[in-house]
Amino acid sequence: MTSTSYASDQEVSLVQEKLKQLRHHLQQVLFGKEELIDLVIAGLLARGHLLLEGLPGLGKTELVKGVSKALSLETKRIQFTPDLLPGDITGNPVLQEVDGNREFVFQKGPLFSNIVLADEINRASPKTQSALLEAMQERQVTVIGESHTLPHPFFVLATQNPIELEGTYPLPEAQLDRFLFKLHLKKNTAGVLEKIVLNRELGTEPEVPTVMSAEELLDLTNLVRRIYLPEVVANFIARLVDATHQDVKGLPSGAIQFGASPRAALAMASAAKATAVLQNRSNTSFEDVRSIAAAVLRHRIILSYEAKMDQFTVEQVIDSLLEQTPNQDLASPQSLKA
Amino acid sequence: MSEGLKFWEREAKSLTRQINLGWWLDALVLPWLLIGLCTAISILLLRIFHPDLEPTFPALLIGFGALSAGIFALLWSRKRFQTTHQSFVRLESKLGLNNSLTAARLGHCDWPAPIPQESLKKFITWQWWRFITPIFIVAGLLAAAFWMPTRYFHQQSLPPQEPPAWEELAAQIEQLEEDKTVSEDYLEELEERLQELRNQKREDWFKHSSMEATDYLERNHRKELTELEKNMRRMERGINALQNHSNQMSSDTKKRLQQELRETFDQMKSNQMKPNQELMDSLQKMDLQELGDLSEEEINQIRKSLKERAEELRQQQGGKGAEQQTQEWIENQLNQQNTPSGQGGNPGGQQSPDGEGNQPGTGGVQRGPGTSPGVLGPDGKPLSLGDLERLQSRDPKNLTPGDLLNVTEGEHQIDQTTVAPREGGGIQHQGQGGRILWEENLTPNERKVLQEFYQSQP
Repeated sequence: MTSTSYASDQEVSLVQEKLKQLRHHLQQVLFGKEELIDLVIAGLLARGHLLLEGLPGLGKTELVKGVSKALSLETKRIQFTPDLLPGDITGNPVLQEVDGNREFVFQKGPLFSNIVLADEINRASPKTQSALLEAMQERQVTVIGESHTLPHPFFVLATQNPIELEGTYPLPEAQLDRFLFKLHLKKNTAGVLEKIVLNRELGTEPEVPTVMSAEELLDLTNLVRRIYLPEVVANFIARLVDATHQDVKGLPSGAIQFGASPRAALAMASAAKATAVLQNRSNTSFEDVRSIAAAVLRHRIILSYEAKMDQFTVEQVIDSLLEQTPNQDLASPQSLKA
Repeated sequence: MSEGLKFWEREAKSLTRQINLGWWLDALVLPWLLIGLCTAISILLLRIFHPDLEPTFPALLIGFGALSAGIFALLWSRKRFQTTHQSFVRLESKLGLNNSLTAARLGHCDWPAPIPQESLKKFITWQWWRFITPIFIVAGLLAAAFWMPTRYFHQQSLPPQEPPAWEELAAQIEQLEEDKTVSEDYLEELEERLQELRNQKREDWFKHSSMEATDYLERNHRKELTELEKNMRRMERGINALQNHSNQMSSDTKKRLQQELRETFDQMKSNQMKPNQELMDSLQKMDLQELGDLSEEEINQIRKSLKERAEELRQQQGGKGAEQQTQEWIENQLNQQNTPSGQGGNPGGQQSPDGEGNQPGTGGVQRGPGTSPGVLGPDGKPLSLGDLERLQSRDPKNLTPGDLLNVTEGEHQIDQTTVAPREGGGIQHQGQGGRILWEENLTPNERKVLQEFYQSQP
C-alpha cells in the first residue's frame, strides 16, 4: 500500500459530521453509554460482528434496533432457542414449480439481511451456532452444495445473557473469535435511570432518524481501511497479542490457557483504525489500540481453571497486559527516567 | 519548513542526545570504576616504587584512564543509541500525541503545534546519583592513592645497612692505603675479599656464613696488623741495640741479636701483610750483620720509619698495640691464678688473649660452677641426713591409714574447766566401742578414708 492510498485528514474530517449525528442519535437510544456506543460504531466501521453481553433490560436489543434505523439497513431479528435449526436461519431449499417444472428453490433465511440481531445467541444449539460461522467469516451461506452470498454490508449483532445459564450452550471459541468485539453492558447509574424514566415510556420505541445510507456506510468502512497504521503501532499490537501467550507478571504461571489468535491482531488493527476515524484522525495510535484492546481480547483469552479459582478475571489479565506492554519496544537508560 | 516541524525535530534531537548520553553514562559506570581502581592502584604503586616521579605522570595516567573508560563506554553503548525517529515515538507516547509525530514525519498529516517547554522539561528526570556515585568513588580512590602514606614501603625498599665490620675494614684499608704503611698487594687482596662479601645478595649479608667469613677476615687482618707491628717494633729495637749498644754486647749476644733480626725480617717477608715496598727495600739493603754501609743518618731514618709505621699500625688496632695486648694477657693470667678453684680457673686451662686455652684442663667433679640456680624450677628445701618427709597423696580413694591427707594449723582444745577431786571407779559414760572416736575426733575426710579402707579389706 502506497502512501497515496492512505486517507487524508480532509477525508476524515468530512465524515465527522455524519459520525457525530450517528453517535448523538444512538446516545438518545441508550443513555449514559457513550463509550459503549463509540465501540459499537467503531465495530461497524471496522466491518466487525459484535457480541453484546448484559443483563436483561439494559437495552441491548434497543441499541441494535437503533443502529439499524440510523443506518437505514435491512435488519432481521432471530430469537435463538434450543430447538432452532441451522436451516431456520440460513434458509432452506423448497420444492417449487418454476416454469412448469418442479425444482428446489432456495428460500433465504433471516441471515440474508444487512444487520442480523441474534438475540440470546447462547440459547441455540451448537449446530445452529455453527451455522453462523461461515456467514460471519465468509459472508455467505452454503446449503446443499450451493453457496449464497449474503448482502453487503453484513453485520451480526448478537446478545447473550450472563445469567440463567441453564439450558444454554456457551459459544465455542471458534465462534467467539469471529466476533470483533465483545461488549459488556453494565448497569445504569441512578442519574441515567432518572433520565430514562423521564424520556421513555414503556412499550414505545425511541425515534431514530436515518443518518446515513448503506452506501455511505460502505464508503466509511472503505475510508477506515485506508487509515494509516504506523509500524510502531503495528509492532505494539503484535507484542500485545503475543503477550497473551506468555506468563503475565502478577498472575500465576499458566494463568492464560489460550491466548489471542492472529485474527485478534487483525481485528485490533481494524478497530484501532475505526477509532482513529471516530477521533477525527487519519492515523492510528497507541491510544486507539489501548482503548479497544479489552473489547477485542475479552472473549479471546481463555483463563486456566487455576486462575479462575484464584478469582482472576479476563479484565484483570488485560489490564495487566496493557500495563506491562510498553508502547515502544525500547529500553530506557537507568541514568534517567523518560 | 513549518514551525511545528522545526520545534519537534529540535525536541526529538535534544531527547535523542539526552537518552544517548544516558546510555553512555550507564555503560561508563563499570569501566569507570574498574579503570579508576586500576589507575588508583597504579598511582599508589608508582608512588611506592618511583617516589621521585614527575607529578604530570599521574595526571596523564588519570587522563588516559578517563579517556579509555569513555571510549569503551561509547563503543559499548553505541548499539543502544536511540534514533531521532524513536525519539519522536517516545515524545508522542509520553505526551499523548496519538502518534501524530510519526504520521507527520511520514507526511500523513500535519505536524502538531508546538507545546510549552514546561511540559517537555518534566519529560526526563535524571537519576543523578547513578553516575555521581561512581565519580565520587573513583575520586575517593584516586585521592587515597595520592594521599596514602608510603613511608613504610620506602623504608622497606631501602637497602639494608651493611655489617659494621665491613665498614670498619673498609675504613682501615682506606687509612692504610693513605698512609702507605703496608704493601699494596695485601690491601688489594683484602679489598677484593671484602668486595666478594659485599657482592653477595643483600638478604645474605647477615647470614651465618657471611658473618663467619667477615669475622675470619677481620680476625686475620687484626692478627696480621699485630704481627707486623710486633715485628716492626722488634726490628727497630734490634737495630737500635746493634747501632748504639753493640760495643757493650758480647759476641754471642750480638750474634743472637743478629739472628733474631734476620728471623724477624724473614717473618715479615713471609707474612701476608708486609711493610710498604720502600721500607722493605731499605731493610733488604741493610746488612744486618754490620748494619751495612748505611750511614747513621740513614739507619736512624729506617728506625724512625719503622717506629712510625708501627705506631700507625697500633692506631689501626684502636690504640692497643701488640705489646699492650700482651701486657693485658699477662695481667689476666695473674688474676686468674688468684681466683679460687671451681670458678673456671685452673681446671679450665690457661687462657690466652684470644680466649682459647693452650693447656689441657684437669676435669673432675669440681670443674666449673655447675648449673645456674633456678634453671630446673624453684629450689626445694635442702634435706639433711635422716630427715623424713611425708608424701602427700593426690588420690584420696586409695589412701590408707597413716597417709597424709592435708596439713592444717590448729591448736589443741584443752578443757579449761576446773575439775574437783572425785572418787575413781565410777562409770561416767558408757561408750559404744570406738564410736566416740569416729564421731568426735575424726574429720569427715578421715572418716571417709577409714570407711573405704575397712570396706576394701576382705
